Amino acid sequence: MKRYVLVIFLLLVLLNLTGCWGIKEIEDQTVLVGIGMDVANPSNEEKQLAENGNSYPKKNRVTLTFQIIPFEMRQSSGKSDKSSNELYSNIQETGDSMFQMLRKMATRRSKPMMGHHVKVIVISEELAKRIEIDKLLKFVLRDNDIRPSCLVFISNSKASEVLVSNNSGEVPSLELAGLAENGSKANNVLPPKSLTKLDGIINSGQSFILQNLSSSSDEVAVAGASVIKGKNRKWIGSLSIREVLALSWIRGSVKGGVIKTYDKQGNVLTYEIISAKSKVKAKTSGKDISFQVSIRSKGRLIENWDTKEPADKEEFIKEAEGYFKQELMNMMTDTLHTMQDVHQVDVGGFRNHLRIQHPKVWRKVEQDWDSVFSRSDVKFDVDLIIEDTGSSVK
Amino acid sequence: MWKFIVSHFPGWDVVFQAIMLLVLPVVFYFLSNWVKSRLSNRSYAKSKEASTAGAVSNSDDEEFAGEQPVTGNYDHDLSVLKQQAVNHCDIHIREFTIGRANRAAVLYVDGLYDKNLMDTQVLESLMNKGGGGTSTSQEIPITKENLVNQILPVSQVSDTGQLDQVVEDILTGVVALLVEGLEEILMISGSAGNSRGIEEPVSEGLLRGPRAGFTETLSDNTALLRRHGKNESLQMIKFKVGERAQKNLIVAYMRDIANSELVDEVIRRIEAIDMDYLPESGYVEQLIEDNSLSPFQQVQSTERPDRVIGALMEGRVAILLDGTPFVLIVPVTFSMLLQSPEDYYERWIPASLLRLLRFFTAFLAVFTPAIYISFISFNQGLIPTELVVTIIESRLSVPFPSIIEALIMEVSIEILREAGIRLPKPIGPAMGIVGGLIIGDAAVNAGIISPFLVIVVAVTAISSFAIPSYSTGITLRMLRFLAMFFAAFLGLFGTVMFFILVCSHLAKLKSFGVAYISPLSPFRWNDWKDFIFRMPFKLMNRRPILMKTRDSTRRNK
Repeated sequence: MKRYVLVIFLLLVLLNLTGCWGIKEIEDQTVLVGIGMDVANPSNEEKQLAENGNSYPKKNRVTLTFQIIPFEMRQSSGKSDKSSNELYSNIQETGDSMFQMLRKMATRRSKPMMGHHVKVIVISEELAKRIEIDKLLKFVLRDNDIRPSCLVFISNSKASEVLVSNNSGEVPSLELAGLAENGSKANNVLPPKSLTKLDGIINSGQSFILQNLSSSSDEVAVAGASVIKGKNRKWIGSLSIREVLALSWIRGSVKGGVIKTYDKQGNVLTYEIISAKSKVKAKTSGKDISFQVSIRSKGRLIENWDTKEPADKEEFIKEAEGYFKQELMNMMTDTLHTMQDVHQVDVGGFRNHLRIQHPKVWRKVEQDWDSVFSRSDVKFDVDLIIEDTGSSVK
Repeated sequence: MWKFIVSHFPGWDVVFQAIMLLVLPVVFYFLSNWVKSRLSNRSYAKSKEASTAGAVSNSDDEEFAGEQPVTGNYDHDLSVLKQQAVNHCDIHIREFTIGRANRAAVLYVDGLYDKNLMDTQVLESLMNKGGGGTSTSQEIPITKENLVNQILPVSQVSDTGQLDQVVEDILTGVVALLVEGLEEILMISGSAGNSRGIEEPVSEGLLRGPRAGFTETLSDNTALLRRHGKNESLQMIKFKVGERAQKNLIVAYMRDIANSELVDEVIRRIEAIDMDYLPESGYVEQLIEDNSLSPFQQVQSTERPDRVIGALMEGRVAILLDGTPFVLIVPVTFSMLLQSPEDYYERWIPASLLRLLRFFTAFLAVFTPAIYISFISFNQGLIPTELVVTIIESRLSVPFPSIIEALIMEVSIEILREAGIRLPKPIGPAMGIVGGLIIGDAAVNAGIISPFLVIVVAVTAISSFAIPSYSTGITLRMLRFLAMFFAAFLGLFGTVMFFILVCSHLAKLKSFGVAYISPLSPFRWNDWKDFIFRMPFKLMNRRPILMKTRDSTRRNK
């Protein structure tokens, strides 16, 4: 009998703990799929609303673009006018507290926002230069409505422009999320940064890179990366596609793809990567810290435009290997230069290698790692083998 | 200081919750105690009543019946019998003469006795051979021995010296033969009458397997079991159950397989049955089961002899009741209810997959609407974004919350199903049209339910019909409604809680001393070979260990 009491007691405790009392029917909510963050620039509707009394004390610092999926009651099941029915709509709100802005939307929409399906957060470069990224994302990280799997991007242009798609039939936020996933198949695109990863990175104070979005009049592409400095959590520069590719070689996250280079005559040579591995060794002698990056790769010669040269010739293969090696070395040296001299940050993951291999040294330089890294010596060692030349030798 | 303490006092709502937390368990505790005591009191009172009633009836018997021996006086005996049969208009008395002098009479109940046998074997033999009549054959003196040994070509003949016993026996289908000058009355049994032919069971269809099903006749059913092969160890013990109308009940088991404790327990419970009449084995089932408050059946009923034989070979006990084709099997485990005899007739890989599918459908039948409700009303974040868009679009025109919407459909489906069973066959197809068109399509067009829900309900309904045991299907359908309320109350959390509740109930449930969800718990690896998967026969060398059988090996390698 005592057990019964215990069981019922536990059940009731559970009932009291849940707090799931409020039913929120799915159709009574607005599905929020993307958030854009821009430098404050109130939209016309907002200005009009404010003139007519819809305003509150605030400093205009950020303009948020909420991308929602609007639903209209279908008049009759027979004819649904798809053309008039946009797949998404963007609403803008300017202010200083993110959460207040989100809640303010309730005064402008009949249904509350549902944040579970936020797929992307796009921050414009301009805003990232001015305001620390952790301040911008604080609310998102604390709020338990928005999922930690949400991806964060930096856009070259305004975020509100990125969140617009001209080819109808696509919701831009969903497209962006798909783009990032798809992009990870190519090695010149960074793996997407989700809020979960970002949370840890920001708190540890390290410098990091975020995927860049560049938009044309009717297309958005993932291109390069933005560098955020750990010290002030602000945007300090960007890396080109080539530099991102070099970074992924250094980090050993290359899964496939190509290396393209030219021979002496200017003919195209292309190497298809079968496997790629990298090993970073941290060395310390006194105050000097140096790194040795060894890269091993196997692949096949997939394209040579020098049609006279038989591809199965030993010397030719050796020569081609040399070209590819050189190309890889150049790429990585250039990137190292960008990291150490231009931006003076470590975004290549060297800090982790040092931390693991030499914890004692790491503790000394931890506080000032970015500048220590900028002074340290990095050597590359590339071992690249062309295994075969495909199914045709001629 | 005081201010600080006061400022940290909880609000009234928290206090209320705390009080509820304390009060409700106590209330529940007393409530459950009260229910239990009510139940046990009632059964106690009933048994007490029964014992006193028995005493009363005994005294009644003494009052009017007494011992009434057959006097040998034909006229007197006949008049006594006639007097007793006055209230039984179906007792027929046919008087005739054996030979020249010996008057005789047969008493029988119309319909209970085989007319053909009566006419040719009894009347004809007596009229022709006994005494000769017009025939020239030598006359046989009419004595009991001569009648039994030479004249009556009937297998079962007994005699009685008690007059008061005669009418009672006639009512069970025996023919009484009263002959002038005999000290006893001959009782000729051979009651048969009209038994149904052996047909394929309606409730448990198989694609591959014997087409034979049990009938309403007990002797046919026992014969069906015997016919499965020569087997001396198949024991059948006969009981009489029912106080007002007695019926035969047979407990069957394999002597060298079944655990004797189990057999004893079954017999004990059968003997304890106290009921005026048992029309069907469902009565027996409910009177001998362990936990009558559980929604799950703890006794399996089947129409298939092959299933019964299979169960007997596993060391289980079968209970056959006269007048019903449903035979009970005890003890039962939950996995048995999701198994079909076909699992053993098909090859093991497809059979295992189908069995796995059935476990899955059992889950679907209970939880699909609940999961739908919790997703729609609480946990929208768990639906893929693209699906969210579709669902919202389809639900915009629906004015009800998801629980009401689901209830409308689920209840309609249950009504349809119930009506479909009760309806005469020619109207049956009309049900399908009404159900399919009106409920399915028109309800969506009318905007009271969303198309998405139609899929959910359809999947649930089909799943519940995929379960081989009909009673289990009912149980699961009933639990589905509970699950829906839990889901509407607490979302996915409630659904999971309900799942845990059901699981813990199942884990505690026992059927004749065997854990209901064994071999899952208590865990018996060997029995897993015939649990979710049906392993090849080569691996199934041992009988279920949980049955504690006398002979544990099924095959000698």
